[in-house]
Amino acid sequence: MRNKVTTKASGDRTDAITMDLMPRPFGRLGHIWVAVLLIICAIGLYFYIEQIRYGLGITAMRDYSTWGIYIANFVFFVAISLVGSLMSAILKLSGAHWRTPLTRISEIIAVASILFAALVIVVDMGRPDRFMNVLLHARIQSPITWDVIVISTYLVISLLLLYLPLIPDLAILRDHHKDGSKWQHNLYKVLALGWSHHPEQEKILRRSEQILAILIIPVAFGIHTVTSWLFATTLRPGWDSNNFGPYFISGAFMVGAGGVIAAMYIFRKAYSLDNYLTDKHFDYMGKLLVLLSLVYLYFNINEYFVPAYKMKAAESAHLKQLFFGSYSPLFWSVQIFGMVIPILVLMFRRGRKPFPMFVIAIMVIVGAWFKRFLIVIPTLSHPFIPMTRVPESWQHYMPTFKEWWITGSTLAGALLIITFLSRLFPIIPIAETIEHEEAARKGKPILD
Amino acid sequence: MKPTVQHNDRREFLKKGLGIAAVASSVTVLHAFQTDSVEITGEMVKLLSPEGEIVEIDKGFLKPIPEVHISPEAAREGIPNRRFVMVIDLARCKNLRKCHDACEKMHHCGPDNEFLKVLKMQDTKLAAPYWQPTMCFHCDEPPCVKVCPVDATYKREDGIVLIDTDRCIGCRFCMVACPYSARTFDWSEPKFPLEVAHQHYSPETSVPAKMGTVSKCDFCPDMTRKGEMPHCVSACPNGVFYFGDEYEDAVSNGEETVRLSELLRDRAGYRYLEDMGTKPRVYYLPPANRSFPFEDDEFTKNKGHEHEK
Amino acid sequence: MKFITTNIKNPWVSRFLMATAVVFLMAFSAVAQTESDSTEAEKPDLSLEFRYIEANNKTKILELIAKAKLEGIWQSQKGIQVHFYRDAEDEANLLGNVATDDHGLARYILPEGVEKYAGAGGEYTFVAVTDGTEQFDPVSVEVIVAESSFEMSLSEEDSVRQVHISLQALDAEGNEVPVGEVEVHLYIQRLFGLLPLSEDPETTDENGEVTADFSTVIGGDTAGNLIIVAKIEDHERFGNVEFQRKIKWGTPLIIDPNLSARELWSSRANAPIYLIAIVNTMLIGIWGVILYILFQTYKISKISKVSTRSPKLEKHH
Repeated sequence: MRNKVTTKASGDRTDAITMDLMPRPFGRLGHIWVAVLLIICAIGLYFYIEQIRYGLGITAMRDYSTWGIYIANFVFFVAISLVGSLMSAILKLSGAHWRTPLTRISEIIAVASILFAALVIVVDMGRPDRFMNVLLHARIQSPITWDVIVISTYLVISLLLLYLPLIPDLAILRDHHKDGSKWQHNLYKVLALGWSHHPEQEKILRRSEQILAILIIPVAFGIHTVTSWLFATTLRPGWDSNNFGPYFISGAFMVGAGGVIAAMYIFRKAYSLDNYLTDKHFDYMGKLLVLLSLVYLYFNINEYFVPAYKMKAAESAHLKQLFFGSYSPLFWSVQIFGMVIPILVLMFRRGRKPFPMFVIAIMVIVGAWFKRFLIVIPTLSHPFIPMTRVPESWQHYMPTFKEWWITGSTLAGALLIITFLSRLFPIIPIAETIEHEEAARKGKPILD
Repeated sequence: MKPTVQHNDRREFLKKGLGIAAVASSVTVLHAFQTDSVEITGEMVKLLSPEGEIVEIDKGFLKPIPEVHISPEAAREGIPNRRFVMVIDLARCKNLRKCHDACEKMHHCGPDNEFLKVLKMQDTKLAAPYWQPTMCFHCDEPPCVKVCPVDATYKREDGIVLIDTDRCIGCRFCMVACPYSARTFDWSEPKFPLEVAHQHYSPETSVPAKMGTVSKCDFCPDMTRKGEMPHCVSACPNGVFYFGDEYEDAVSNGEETVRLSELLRDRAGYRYLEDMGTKPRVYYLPPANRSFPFEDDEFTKNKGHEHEK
Repeated sequence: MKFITTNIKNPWVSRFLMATAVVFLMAFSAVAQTESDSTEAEKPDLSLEFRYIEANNKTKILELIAKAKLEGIWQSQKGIQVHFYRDAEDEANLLGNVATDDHGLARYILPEGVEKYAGAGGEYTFVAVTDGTEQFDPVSVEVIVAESSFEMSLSEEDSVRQVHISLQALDAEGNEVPVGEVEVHLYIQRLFGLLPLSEDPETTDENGEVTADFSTVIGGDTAGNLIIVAKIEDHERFGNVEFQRKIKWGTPLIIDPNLSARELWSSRANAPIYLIAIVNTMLIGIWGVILYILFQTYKISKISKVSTRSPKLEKHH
């Protein structure tokens, strides 16, 4: 008897969770948001077609500043994509169960940004029409080849890490989502793979998730280390650093955590998920961000202090420009607003409330983008052979309007993908949330 | 026209019993003979055979030489048994820029895509400034080639580093990898006279350049194949550039031919940024005992010490 | 292709030859100035370098280089029509017509039997005349040379290598006599020029002979062959005379094996083995796991079909 009541109560609760977390159609604000992003992307596409026709000459890149904000943006996307491995793998393996409602958000961010990382690198190519050469004539000695391999691998693993935990949810959607269109229903049906909560199925799924969680960690380290090698394998001052791999990875985890916090805040507001994305979650994420920022601060000190202490001739021009020269306002803003202030604010309990966290997260993300700018661009204006007889514009790289717009539209595109995925799939895992709640009620350990 | 075809044509011609070689006449040189299309003119021309014999043939057999076209595939081979090397005598350079102009003219690269630069250098404040021509150093361990993802740039057996712009994807990794800023990129569609635009592309001439690809100094293998020196070398009136074959241990500046090993030993030759470990094939002779004083040009006048940072 | 390079590699074609005669002439200058307009009067001078070359006692060549100083720079003049005559400018004496090439060079190989036009002492007079063009007035140059017999032989005894030269010419009576006091330069042929064997040239003795030791250690071709060149340069009587011989006195060329090594900068086909091994191991390892996971998801879909169909499994549930 008692048993039955419990089941009924838990059944109601299950229904409530399912209803709460079911993907919902866009409201008015949602439609405006999507329309704005689409317009930005459409204009960006138009400028890109212009770039294909008239060449990279429509950007401000020239022979000395031969890599610009496209590459900085690429590094940014790769960096933020690492959040998938942080939330789904590292926290999972370390047994931090509070991460459950955040995994879907982070995997969606990871998939969207790694897709755009790949796209952005094609945008930067002088001859995108010859993309197939990268496969047909691949030279295994080139870090770009390694990057192509590791990005595609990471994309596939990220997709799997998004998809596998989604299967039980897709089964729920298949069975309970009624107000969607027919294709949406068919999509759920196909993707659910005939999930029937069979113990064998659950066993396979749990095992596969576990394997992927382990597998993605070396691949995630690989993707960002190889990306850092695009710079560190050259002889240029500012890039010629042994610190670059860990420096990039720590920065990536930091901005990834910032991205999740910002997304959490927005989804919580947009879908009224206060019961699922609680203040406790923000508090934990805040602590995590402090930890990651401190690690990043440590690598920053290594990256700038050690060469500055030695002041080798080639390095000194670069460092002086960053510390005191034309890039110093940007450099110090990024270091202070993008790293030091977040650390200080998030150290305090009050700073870890949702709204201040959201503001800090935005600061971290913007700071991280410009940090990539500062890593990629100033180095190229200090070649070993002096730059003479070149136009003034070649000496000081300032991206063109179209270049900014194309870059902005890739960011808009990534947001668009995140938006669409959250429209299509539950942004918080339904099945797992139910499972956790039942386990908590029964006092059972959570199988994760 | 492919070289193999020419070869067959020549064989065909030789079969007919007419040993032939280079020409001592107004017809630039005879080359591809298509015996079936020859119009016998009745006018005889004298030619020198490879054996030194003089032969007389009908003028109809003579055709203006088509530019020897080395295809991108053939260009990867390199000129057999050669190892090209350059020595630049900084004591003789007075920024006349004839090398630069000849290079620009022959490669049609324009001021935005210079293959060769003449730079003002000053090693320390107390040392006098000097002019230094720089170009691709055709390193023996080229960092640019290391990073190319598609084999578009490659090191040949004759020591030359070339770019196949039919292969290049325009990622510009080679440009950032090169510590000598030797590479240049065609950011927009390059503008050529019609005859240049229609020229058959060869990595050995780097002409015509293509939008969205990288190009650079190629050590003029089209010239060395003909036994002639690169354009910068022959254009310099001061004999700044020496060019030659390291295997032969000799370099020439057009006026004199000297032993490479002796020149580098006696004049304390060095390579720029040796500690980069790239092993350049271009050596410099220090700007000591200069034949003329340093004079700033319009670009360097108000710039102070370029090299000092 | 091959025969072009052969030709140019030959030293008698190389542009290191000294001028035999450089003559500047302004033909019709007075007439031209009175009759034509001012632009024609300002026509730049065409400078001609005219030389006679005798190679290996066999081939006799007339070579003419046309240059002009335009905008302060000496530039080779292409496409200038040159008429070569023996003795004097006269239709009957015309030897041949050649146009200058890209380097301003016009070369004419004298036919066999030209000796019959030589004087008693073996001397010739050759005349080259250029056609007038829109840019230049016609110019005529002349060279007077004497025939010579110039030979080089090479010997090696007890590892002492020597170069022997002998020079003979006809005297006024037409007898062959040795010529002394003539400077002879010895070179090794290199790709872009002639490398002098010694700093100073040798001089023929009263027997018209020179003997020089060859002690240079220098690279030859893959077989060790070198071409040794002996030259009389810019001589007032003989012009340019040269003799060349190929001999295995060089160090055989060994191609740097480093070139085909498997290095980071090698081509894709020559990638280092360790790199191929590492990358492929990682690829197979990681993608093997990915494929395994994909297979597992396939198994998930299979189980559902079995479970809905099979009552046995349903009971277990």
